[in-house]
Amino acid sequence: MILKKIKTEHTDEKTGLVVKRITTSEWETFNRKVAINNSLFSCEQKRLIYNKPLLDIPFQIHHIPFKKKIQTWDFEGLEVSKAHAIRQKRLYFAFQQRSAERWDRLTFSEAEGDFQDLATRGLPFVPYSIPKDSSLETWKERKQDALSILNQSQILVPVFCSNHQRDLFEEIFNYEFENSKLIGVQCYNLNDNNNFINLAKIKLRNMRLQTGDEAPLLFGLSYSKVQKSFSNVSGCFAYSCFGFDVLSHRQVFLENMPTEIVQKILSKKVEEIMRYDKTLGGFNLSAEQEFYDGRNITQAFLENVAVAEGLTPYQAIQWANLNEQQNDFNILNSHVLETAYEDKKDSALNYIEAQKERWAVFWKTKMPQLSSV
Amino acid sequence: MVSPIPKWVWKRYAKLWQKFKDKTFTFEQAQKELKHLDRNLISVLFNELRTAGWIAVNLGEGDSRKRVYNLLNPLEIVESVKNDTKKN
Repeated sequence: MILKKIKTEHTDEKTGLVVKRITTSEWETFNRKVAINNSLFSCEQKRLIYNKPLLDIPFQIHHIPFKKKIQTWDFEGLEVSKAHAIRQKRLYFAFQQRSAERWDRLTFSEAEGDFQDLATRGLPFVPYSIPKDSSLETWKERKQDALSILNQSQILVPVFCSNHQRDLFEEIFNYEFENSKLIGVQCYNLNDNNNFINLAKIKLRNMRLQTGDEAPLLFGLSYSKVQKSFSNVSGCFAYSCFGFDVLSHRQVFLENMPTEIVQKILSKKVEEIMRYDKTLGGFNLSAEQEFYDGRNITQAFLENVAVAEGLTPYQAIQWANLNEQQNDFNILNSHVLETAYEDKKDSALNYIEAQKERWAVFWKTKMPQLSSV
Repeated sequence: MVSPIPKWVWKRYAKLWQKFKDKTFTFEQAQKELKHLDRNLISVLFNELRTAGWIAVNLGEGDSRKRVYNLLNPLEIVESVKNDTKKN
C-alpha cells in the first residue's frame, strides 16, 4: 500500500478544524480516524478466529513498549501486527512509546540508534523521535544523515514530544509541516502550559491550510484515552481539536507494572470499566449511567454481546468505544464540510457545542475561541 | 427573553428542577445534586443557563461574594417563548 497524496478538502474558519483527503494505492478516505492500536489488534486477532468482521479503519498503529526490566524496546509482535495491517490494506505505523520522563532524557545519539533499529525492520514509515531541546539547525543535519540510510520505499516520520522546548518548537514543527508527509506527536498533559502552547501552535499552522493544499498527516499519539481533568472528555476528541488527523491513545503494558496493579487491572468489574457515551462525547461509569439514565448502559450493552463474537467483556467495550468515537468523528467531518456553504458556517461549531456535553465543556473551557480573534 | 438550550443542558436543568424547583440554591448544593459531574462542567452549565435566560443569578444574603441561583419555571419559559413568537 503506497501513500500517494494528502490534500486539504476544506478548513472551517469557525473551529479551525480541517478535513483532509488521504489517497493511497488501495483506498481514499478522510482524516479524523481513531487508529487500530495494540489492544484493538488483539481484539481483531480473536475475531479472526471466530471468523467475524474486523474494524473498518484504514490505519493501524503499533506502540512499541519499553521493557523496563531489560532496558530495551520490545519488538515482539511487530512483525505479526505489520503482516495483519498489510492483509487488511491498512496504513501501518510503528513507533516507540516514550513516557514523559524518557523524553526528558532523550539525546540524538539514542534517537538515531532507535531510528536505525526500526529502519532495518522493513517498515515503510520509519519514526525518528526528535529530542525536546533540538533546534531546527541541529535537526536538519541529523535528518540528512537519517535519510541517507533509508531506501526509496521508506519515509521518515518525525516524531515530536508535545513538551518540546517552547522557543524551538514552532520553527522546527513548521519546517516539518512543509516537508513531511507524516508527522507524529506524542502528547502529554493538557494542563501543562508548555504542552498546551505547543499544541496550539500545531493547530494554528494546520488551520492555515486552504482547499487544495498538500498537507501532512498529523498523528496524535500516546495521550490519555479519558481526559479525567476535563470532565472525562474523550482524549481522541480533545487532541483532534489541535489538528490531529489520526489518533492513538497511550497503551498500557502490563509487563512493566507491579504485580498488585496488574491484578487490579485484570480483575476489573463491569462497573469499573469506562464506556464511551455518544450523547456526552466522553466516558462514564455504570454508577453515573444509573443515576442519570436509570439503567446500567454498560451492563445492558454486554448482555447483547454474544460470546461467539470472540471478545471478552472488556474487549467488547473497547471495540464499541472505538466504533462510537469513530462514528462521531464521521459526523463531525460532515459538519466541517458543510461549513463550506454560506448558510452553514456554524454547522461544526453547533455540533460541538450543542450535541455533546463533554465536547462542549472542553471546547468552551480549553480551546482558544477563534470567533473573537 | 429566553432562548433555546442544547439538549445536554436541558437534561441537567431537569435534574436541578426536580430537586430545587424555583427555590434558591448555591453552587455547592447544585454540585451535590449533580453527582459525578465536576465543577468545570457545572460552571459551563450555569453559564449556558444564564445566557439563555433559564436561571437567575443573585448575590448571596450576608455574603455578597457568594452567588445564589434560581431556576426559571419551565411553564414561565414556555409562556415567554410563546410571547416572543407572537412579537416576531
